Amino acid sequence: MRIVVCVKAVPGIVRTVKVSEKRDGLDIQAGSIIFNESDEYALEEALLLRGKHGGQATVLSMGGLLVEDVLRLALARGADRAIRVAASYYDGQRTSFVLAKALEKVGFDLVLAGMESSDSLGSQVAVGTAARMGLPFVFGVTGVAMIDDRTVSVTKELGGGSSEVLDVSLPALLCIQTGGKSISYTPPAKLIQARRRPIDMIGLAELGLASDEVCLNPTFKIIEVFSHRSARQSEILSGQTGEIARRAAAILLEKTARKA
Amino acid sequence: MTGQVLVLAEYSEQGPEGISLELLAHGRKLAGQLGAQLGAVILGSDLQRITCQLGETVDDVYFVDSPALRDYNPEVFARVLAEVLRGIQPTLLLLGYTYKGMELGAAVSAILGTLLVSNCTGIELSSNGYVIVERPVPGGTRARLECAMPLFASVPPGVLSSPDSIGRGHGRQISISCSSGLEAARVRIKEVFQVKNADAALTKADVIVAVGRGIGSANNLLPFREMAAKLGGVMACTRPVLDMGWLPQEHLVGLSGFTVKPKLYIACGISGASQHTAGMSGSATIMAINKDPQAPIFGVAHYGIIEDVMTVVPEIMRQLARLT
Repeated sequence: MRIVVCVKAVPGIVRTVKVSEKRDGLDIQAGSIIFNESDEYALEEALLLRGKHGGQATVLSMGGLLVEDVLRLALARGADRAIRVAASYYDGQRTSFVLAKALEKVGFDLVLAGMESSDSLGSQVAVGTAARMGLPFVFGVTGVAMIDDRTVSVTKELGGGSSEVLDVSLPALLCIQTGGKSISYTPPAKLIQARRRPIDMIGLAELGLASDEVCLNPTFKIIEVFSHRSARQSEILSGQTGEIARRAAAILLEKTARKA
Repeated sequence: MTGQVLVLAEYSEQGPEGISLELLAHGRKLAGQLGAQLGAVILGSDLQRITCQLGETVDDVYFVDSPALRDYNPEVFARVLAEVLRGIQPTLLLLGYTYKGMELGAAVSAILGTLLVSNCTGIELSSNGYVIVERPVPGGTRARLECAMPLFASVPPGVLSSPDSIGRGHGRQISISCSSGLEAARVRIKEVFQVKNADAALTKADVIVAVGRGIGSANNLLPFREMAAKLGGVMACTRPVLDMGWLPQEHLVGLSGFTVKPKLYIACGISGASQHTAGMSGSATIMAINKDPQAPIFGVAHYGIIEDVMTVVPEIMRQLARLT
């Protein structure tokens, strides 16, 4: 089975966020670049499936050179092949458009992706990509098991403590929720080894896209980035820790009607 | 009147979901400003009661009522919704940033090629005919976007104010039949199950002490358990705490867990991503403790404490002991 895992490199510590020059994205200065959390679980699920049933696990990411750190981490964890698509967009529309083209070029039986990235907080790229390719999709997946070559059994979280089990025909795309499996340990020797592994690159031209074809789209512009502390005027308790604690205790007792 | 502001209505046996009422109330305001109709779109089976309820508040209720839509199958619902939207051509489609809204919004946006701005914390109209939306960006900030219409936008539960009334509509009932695309051939529901112990302890509690990743370790849970016991409350947690195995699923609050509205919610070491706040922002009083002054939780809290939670909570416990 050919599994492709879509992963994203996201800022770990965010230093500053600015609107990009073209106003169609954000320039984020980050103290670190990390593996997006739900994508890590997607990779884990892929590696478990490959371990049980054989086949190939490919990781694919969109972005600049920086994403190669995350792709190498995925190789160290056990991915067979890593691909970087050299393009990056703020909005889910253009991202899913390019991602669908890249996935079609790479080929797959099953696509796994995280449910949400910690930088865009949009939850729309993976499902959008599936919809563009006409693939069946499941969101909020906490478990995947193979039934046969053409079918997987999928556990989907519904919220409110309930879940459902679905049979899904392949090819399909599944959006993986965090926490379904524990992330396995990566030996440091594998990390060192992965530094010398090649990463394949796909540019827009190889996908048959002129860059302006993708950029035609934006029907939005970002006006500004601002701090939002004032959304509900929270009353900040200030002073020495002891003083804050005294005020807090009094409020808690008042609100629970357990007056002193 | 031209144009249509449309809300994808979610419902349960009790009637429209809270998020849908919030969207309808906000949609009514935007429709008024645009000189547009307010519509609701609803997919399912045996919809007569819910379409009547919705009809009292909107101008048009578009519904697809079919036994094939009894169970929620995202692929089928997305296909049908895209077909319905293609016919209505709404100026603005509002969806909940809920599991259903997330997957259906993303799918129909891709199918129809209309921009979806998801996870919005504000949607207003500008004087020059654009929609101004706000959404979170990393680093404890928000972005304000100017978007052309048509536009799809999703909003988490509890962000818009809860309406007293939405206003009256003509309640035209428009049945849309979908002859094809209803077969659920590729995704088949086998079974639905509840997590163990998923009783209503959380949803009935008056006081909730909730912990997030910021408490650092499962070994640090004790002071929070003590605080919950002292205040007669129960423990809750965020998704990362569940994922790390610090607390089990029946404590999960948020989009993927339970929605709670206690009298008092104490958020400890919780940053306040919309996944969590969607499940607790309706609490009567919220106190948030987080050492990061930029944490979005301070945007929903009534009282904020910018301190290390492991330092200040034992101190609060000492004060509680002294006062009671």
